[in-house]
Order: sequence, then structure tokens, then C-alpha cells
Amino acid sequence: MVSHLIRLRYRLMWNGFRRSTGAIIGAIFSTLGYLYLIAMAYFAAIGIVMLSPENISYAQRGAPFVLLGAVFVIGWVVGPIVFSSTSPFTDAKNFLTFGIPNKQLVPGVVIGGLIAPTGIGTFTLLLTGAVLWGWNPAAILAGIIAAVLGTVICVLLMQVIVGLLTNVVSRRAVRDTIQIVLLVPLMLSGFIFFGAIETIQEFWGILPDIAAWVAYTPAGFLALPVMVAQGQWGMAAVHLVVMLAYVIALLVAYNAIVNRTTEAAGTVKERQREVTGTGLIGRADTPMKAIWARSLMFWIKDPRYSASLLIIVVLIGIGIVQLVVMDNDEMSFIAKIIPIAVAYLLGFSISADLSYDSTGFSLHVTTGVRGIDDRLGRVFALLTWGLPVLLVLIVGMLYGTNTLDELPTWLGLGIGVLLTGLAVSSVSSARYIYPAPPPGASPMAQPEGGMGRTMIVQTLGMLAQMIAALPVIVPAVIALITGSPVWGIVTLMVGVLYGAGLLWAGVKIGGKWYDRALPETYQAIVKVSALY
Amino acid sequence: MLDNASLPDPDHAVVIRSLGKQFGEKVAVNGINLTIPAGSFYGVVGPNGAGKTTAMSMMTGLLRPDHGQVWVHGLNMWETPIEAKGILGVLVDGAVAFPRLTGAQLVTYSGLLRGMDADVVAERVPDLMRVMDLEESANKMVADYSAGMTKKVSLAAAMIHSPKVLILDEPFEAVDPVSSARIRNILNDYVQSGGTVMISSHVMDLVERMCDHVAVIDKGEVLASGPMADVTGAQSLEDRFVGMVSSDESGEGLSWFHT
Repeated sequence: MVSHLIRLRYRLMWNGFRRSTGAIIGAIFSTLGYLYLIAMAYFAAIGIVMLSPENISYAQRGAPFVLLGAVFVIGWVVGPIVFSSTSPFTDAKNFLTFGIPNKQLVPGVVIGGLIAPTGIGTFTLLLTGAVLWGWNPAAILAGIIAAVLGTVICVLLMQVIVGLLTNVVSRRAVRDTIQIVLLVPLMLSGFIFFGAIETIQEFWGILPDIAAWVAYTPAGFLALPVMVAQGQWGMAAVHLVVMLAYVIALLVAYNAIVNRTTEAAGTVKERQREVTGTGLIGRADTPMKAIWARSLMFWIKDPRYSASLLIIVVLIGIGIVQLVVMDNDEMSFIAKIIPIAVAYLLGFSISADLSYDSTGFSLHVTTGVRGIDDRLGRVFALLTWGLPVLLVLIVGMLYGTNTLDELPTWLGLGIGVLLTGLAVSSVSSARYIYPAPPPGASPMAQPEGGMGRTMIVQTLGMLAQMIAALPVIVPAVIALITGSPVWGIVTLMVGVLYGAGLLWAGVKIGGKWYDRALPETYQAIVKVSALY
Repeated sequence: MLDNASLPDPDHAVVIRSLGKQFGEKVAVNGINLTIPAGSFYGVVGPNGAGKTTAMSMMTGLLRPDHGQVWVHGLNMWETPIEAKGILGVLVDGAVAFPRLTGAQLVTYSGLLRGMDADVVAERVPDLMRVMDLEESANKMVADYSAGMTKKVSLAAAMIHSPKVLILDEPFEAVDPVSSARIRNILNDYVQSGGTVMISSHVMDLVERMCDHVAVIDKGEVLASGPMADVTGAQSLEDRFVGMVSSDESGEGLSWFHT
């Protein structure tokens, strides 16, 4: 049975490749990237070995290494939740009808997870722990044990936490929130990475203390070879026992989840707070206003939209940090450019609207909605909250940097970028559909194939937005370089008038395209929604 | 193309002439002709992949035909789509209609999209939720509905504007017997009062019991169409259907399956 489950895993992967060349190309690139990462890790490890223990002590090389293990655990747990890229093996429900006893299912899924590409990759990287100590047989052996234990813990922890989320947490709102909140560290991972490097340099001294604290958590499995290399045999023995205890505890927990899934199949009910009445939609009285109301509601209700809201919140957060922490003139430009970046993203954000509607868009097709109503409704929904947010943001950032005299320039630039961006999106989204997560999927869910199309449409759309905004960008740049108030006023006028004009044209043209190619657009939506 | 002189009688609910669609090498619908009289309860039956959904998509404006025309009460679907869609109510099989809206919101939205008066919509939504037995779930998200409830709320969304013609792809799939009986009564009353219903289904019994007209489609062709009695003759619809559609002898059975 165990071997069946493992073979099934590879068979599924192979069939995925047969279904689309995009998946193969994606797999090749990620494999190459991963091999590169592994090679670099081993080079680094060997490099450290070359240095004598006097230059860099075992405690010093051990501490970042232990923390690396913790990063892996986080990756294993956060990844599947955020990307919803859970393999069929993560949900015991899929095996329900086969009546496989737990005694075989649990080891099958766990061993299968170890032998899957992600498991092997993790194991290979963790195995650097056997290299770090030069020729030290005991430490090498400890490194191998730690790598095996670590991979097992990663796989089990992932199964337990994802299992908990899908089968035990019954409130949709809670699941949505967890998923979105976990997105934040991922979006900020770049900042965290560089921040971490800086912090490591600063806190080099206390790093061993942190590592010592992490060592006895489930994420501290890589501490074993560090202890052995330093000859701390007693501590190493205790550590090994603790780690084995974690594995057993996780196995028990996973077993319980599988049991619960089997016994409670179909009885875990969605609990949901009910709203009364029909909300905003009940207040609409024309097709355009109905679409406006519906789109506006979805910015809050649908996690796929709230996720893009979150990106904007994170950007604003970075701007505020720049203002408060790095209080100098060079940095103030970053704070001021952030609202413009937000405007740009807001303009882009409605370009996937039709893909987000997914097959629900058939309602717009069969009810005979006019293109202009569809386009206008979606644009107004975004402007309803987007424009006030943008204005407040611009004024706030300028106030924070004491440059309110530049207000007309930045207002003109921000409004211009937002309106022209919406104009481009209104045209492009009426005809060019790219894969986007369907309703109910994770905001970060990836399609099987179709990435090429996404990248082409998105890149061209963003380029077009840039070009459309040039007539506002040029006077803004002149105003900022010369500091001339006249050019500031010119920027403001161009931003508002040209922006509004282009938006009107974009909505008109987009509406026409929409009407002309409606059935083709719908079929394109059906096609991309099948990619998930 | 047909010239003006041969324009179809607007008294016919739906007229289809040489409607065809090809996907790559595969001919999904091979130039079919159908006439659906006003006030009829019309069933379309056929095996999986026969072209039922493709044909219905072309009748409702979801898929552009390679050739051929569709008229709904004399209005050409592909030349005057907005007018033709206005008198049509459609249930699309397999479409997920905005699951983050509540049932009541979805039906309201559907009415408003059609440009209906907001007060009329507000009046009709509770009625529809009541007959669909969705009163208690009216304020729950469609995402939390069962398959049958989703079908019923989509059906309500297709009926809100009291269309002249209903085109329903697999309307009874996953619907419980009680709701199914209730929906049948509603549709029967609707046909009695002059409306036209076209449904597709795999369930022969149901089609034979409900419909007064039937079309049998296989491999993109209409094998037979017309009043139920003319098509079935002395046989049951199921026997007639199997006789027309299956040609091979793969029904030999599984000898090892008998205990």
C-alpha cells in the first residue's frame, strides 16, 4: 500500500506534465533553480569548513544553520496554505472511499511526502549539516540523522496544519483570514531577507542564544550535529529524544486528524454569519449600478480581491516606515513615490476582473449587459474607495516629508496615473483574458500551465499603462526638477483632464470590444478557469 | 443565410437553422435544424458529448456559431443579441455564479442586470426564494449551498424577469425530489400560461413525463424531433433513444460481476 501511494504521487506528477508543456517548462526551471540553490549551499558549507574553528567557531557556524532549519519549517507550512497548492495527499478525504486502514495510509502519505521532489529537495539541503564540520564522523552521522528527522517533521507538520485548516476549522471567514494574513510575510520576504542579513550582522553575538532557544522547538532539529560537533554529548542525547518525541506527537496528531476526517466526513458544516437583506446590491436600480455595487462588495468579501488590497496596505506600511525610521531627505522621495505606485497598481488591479468572475460571467452574457455598463460599473467600484485612499495617501506622505508645496504635482501625477491605468485596464480586460484563481481558490493559486499567457498579457498591460501615463509623467518630472509652481499646476490639470478624458475613451472602446467579442471572451474565460 | 422572405414565424419560440460548430477536427454540432413551438415543453436528450450543451450555448449567446442562425420569437440571437436575450431565461450547466453573493443577492443582481425596475425585483425575489424552498438560506452565501441549492438559485435567477422562453441545461441534476416536483409544477404552470421551456436531460423518464416535444441529438446531429408521441411511437422514450443512439454490442455485460 505504501508503495502504491508513492507510485500514485509520481503518476499524478507525470500526468500533469502530459497535460501541458507549460507545466514541464515550469518544472524544469524550478528544478534548475533548486539545483543551483543546493550547489551554492554546499559551496558555502565547504567554504566554511575550509576556515579553521579558530576563525569561525562551531557555535557561530551552528547558529545560522539551526535557524535555516526553522526557515524550512515555516516554508513547508506557509507555502501550501497560501498557494493552496496542496497535493491530493494532504487531504485524507481523498482516500476515504478506498477504506485504507490508518496504519497503512499514514506511513504511505508520510513516506510518500519524503520521496516526493519537495521532500528530496528539502533533505538534500538539510544534509549540508553533515558537511559543515569537516571530517568528524560523529557529527556527519548526526547531520544525516538531523536531516532525516527534519524532513519528517516538515512533512508531518505540514500535513497536520493543513489538515487542521481544511477539516477542523469550520468557519470560512477564519480560513480566509489565516490565508490572507500568512500572505504578508511572503510579500515582505524580500525586505525580511535583507533586514535579516543586516540584523544577523548586528546581532551576531546573541545569535547563538536565539539558536539555543529555537533548538528545542520542533523547528530546531538541525541543532543535533552542532551539539555533537562541540562534543556536548549529553545535550545531544536529550535533543534527540525531544525531536523523536515531536515526531511521535505529530504522528499521533495526524492520525487523529485522519480519524476525524474519516468519521466526520460530510458532517463538518460551514458555519457562517448571515447578513440580512441584499446590501448594496439592493440599493442599485440600473445594470451599471448593480455591477458597481457587486464589484465594490467583492473588494471586501472575496479573498482574491482583499489580497490585492493587502498588497496596497503593505506598500503604505513601507512608506510609513520610511517616513518614521529613515528620517532623511533622500529617503523622502521613496515615501512620496509610494502613493504613485499604489495608483499604478490600482489601475492594474481590475485587469483580471473577468477572469475573477470565472464562469459566473455567463450571467452577464445571458442577461445582455451592455459593454459600457460593465466597464463603468467596475471602474466606479474601484474609484469609490481607491480615489479617496490615494488622495489621503498623497497628502499624508507630503505632510510627513514637509513638502506640501509640491502638492499639485503629486496630486496630478497620482490622479493621472490612476485614471490612465484604469483606462488601459478597461480596454485590455474586455478582450484579453489571462488565468486568475477562480472563486473559492486561494488568491495565490497557480494555474497548471497558462503562465506564459499571463506574463505576456500582464507585461503588455503594464507597459501600456506606463505609456498612457507619459503625458502626466513628463510635466511632473519637469515640475519636480525645476521646482516651478506653474508646472505643478500644469501637472494637476493634465492629470485630471487628460486622465478623465482617456478613461472615458477607454471605457467607450472597452465597451465596444466587450460587445463585439462577448461570446469569444466568455469562451476564453471558460478555458482559463479549467486550468485550475 | 436565409433571405427575408423565409424569415421564421415569430410565433415559434425558437427556430434554429443549419446551426453548426466545429472545435478543431471535432464537429460538435453539425448544421442542425429545430423548431420549438411557442407554449411547448421541449426536451433535448442525447448521450454525453452529443452536442447538447454546445447547441444550447449557441442558442443563448454564449458561443458564436460557425454558421447558421437562431431566432427567439423572431429576434435573431446573433444579429440583435440584446433584444433576443431580453426575452430569454437561461440556466448554464456547470457555471459557478458569483459564490460570494448570498442567494437573495444573486437573484436580485440577475434582475437588475436585465434592467428591471428595482422595486419589482425586490418584490419577486422573496417569492422566488419561497417556491425554490430557499427561504431559510436566502441570506447565506451561495458558496455554502449544496449542489442542488445552487441549481435552484440559478434557476430563480433565470426566471426573475418572467421571460417568454426558458432554456435550461440539466435543470434537475442534483435537485432533491421534493424541490424537483415543485419546480416541475412551476414550469408546467408557466407552459400552461403560454411560456416555452426547453430542457436538456439524461433522465429519459423525466423528459417523457414532463415534455410534450422532444429532440434526440447524437454526434452533433438531430436524429429525431417533434411531438413526443411522433418520436417515441409505441415504445418508451428510453427504448427509442437507446435504439437510435447505440449501435454497438458492448452491452454484453460483466460475467464476473454476477454473484
